[in-house]
Amino acid sequence: MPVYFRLVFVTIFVSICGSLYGQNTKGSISGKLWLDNSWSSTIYLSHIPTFDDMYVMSGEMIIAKTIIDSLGYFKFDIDFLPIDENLFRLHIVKKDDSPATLIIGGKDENHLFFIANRSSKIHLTGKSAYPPFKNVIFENSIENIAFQQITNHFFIADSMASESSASKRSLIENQLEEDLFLMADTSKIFLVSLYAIYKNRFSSNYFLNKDFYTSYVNKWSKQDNAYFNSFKKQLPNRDSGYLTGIIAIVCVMTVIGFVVGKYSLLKTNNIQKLSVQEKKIYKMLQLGASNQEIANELNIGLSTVKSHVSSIYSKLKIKSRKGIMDIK
Amino acid sequence: MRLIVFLLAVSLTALGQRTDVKEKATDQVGMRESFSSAITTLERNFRLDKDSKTEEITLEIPQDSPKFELKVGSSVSSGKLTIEIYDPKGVKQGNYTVGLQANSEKETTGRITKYFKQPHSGVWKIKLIPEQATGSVWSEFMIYE
Repeated sequence: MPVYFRLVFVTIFVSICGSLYGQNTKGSISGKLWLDNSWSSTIYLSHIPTFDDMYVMSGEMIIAKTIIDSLGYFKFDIDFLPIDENLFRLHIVKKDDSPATLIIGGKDENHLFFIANRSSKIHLTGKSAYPPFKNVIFENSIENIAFQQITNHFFIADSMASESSASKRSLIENQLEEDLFLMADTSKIFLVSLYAIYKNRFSSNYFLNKDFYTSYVNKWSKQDNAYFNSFKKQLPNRDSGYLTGIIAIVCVMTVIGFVVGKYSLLKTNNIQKLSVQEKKIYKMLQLGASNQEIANELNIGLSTVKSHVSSIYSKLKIKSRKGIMDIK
Repeated sequence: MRLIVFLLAVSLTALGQRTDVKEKATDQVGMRESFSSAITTLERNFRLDKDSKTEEITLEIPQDSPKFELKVGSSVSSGKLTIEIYDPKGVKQGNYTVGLQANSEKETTGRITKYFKQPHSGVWKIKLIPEQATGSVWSEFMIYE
């Protein structure tokens, strides 16, 4: 085969591979919604930095917008998204509303959460006009099928609970809690698993299920992202009680040490106020000498010694010999 | 002397009353209650002007109430506002936050609608937590008896 034929063949092969590679890595989110003319024809894409921000709406969170055509189709190119999977929100608004409008609950609920990265290829289909994102079906996205299952399961159980008597509601809520624990425990996709944890209102049942949460944090310990870090920050830290106790003890000891030190220093300073004779007697008192021994040693009368000792007590603001011996 | 003390006390009381009236006039712009045979409808509207003081709406849901419905909406043109709904057990039943940077032109809006069949009886709380927020809050509650 001539060389230029080989060159052409290689060039074509490389181009095809390149284009196929490009197609596989260029991500997109597309879908079809059933909308009436009360809705604006723009759909917005927002980045949700943590699960705690799911119901936060701010214009700064909107990272892209695109047009929904007259048949309800839309498409975002998402090759600017992070490489790692993140949480996102799609939302639409009523014609009179600001673009940054979040509607929660009711027939006008206007948003949908999903996870994606820059190479995700997500297609979704709405199944109802009101609310437009209710029972949305994801195609070719295992992560979002699992994610949506949690949303749907929670919605169904929550609706049933709302419609039920107090005792039945309690049973439904318990079952929902167990189901969400199971979903969190068995999902191999981290954000799906964490979503189940959040839907399970972990902050209100942490102490009842402390072992589960401890093993959950250990299981995903290699995750280093804002979603996991934000979650971990909210877990009551079991060690923090001990740490607080230790800090408190150290503080108390420091204060006591400071007071004792200052007291001793005060006494030491007061020693300077003693006369020459009193200093001699003070030193002997520190060695444990009796009044008689001091009198004998200094060759003075016992009553004089007593008078000096009384004066020393007064100047050092102490009441006994033990007080003298405690002064360092 | 007694007359001076009396006049001072009267003046302070009058001053305190005026302050209360002023606060109500600026913070709570609308409040309405209506009753039908089985439904009590309450409306509470607030206007915020760079406010950062948390407000709380409390609602007493009677025993055996078959349904409780609430709608809270807010629009913020600067600052941040969080709405949180708590049932009598202290469980958060819904929340959202709307926020906007001061130099943004457009406003941010949030609306939440919830209804509960056979709701927990007792005091439900709706917390309005503004952070330097300017905007308005409107709410409607329907308590069925």
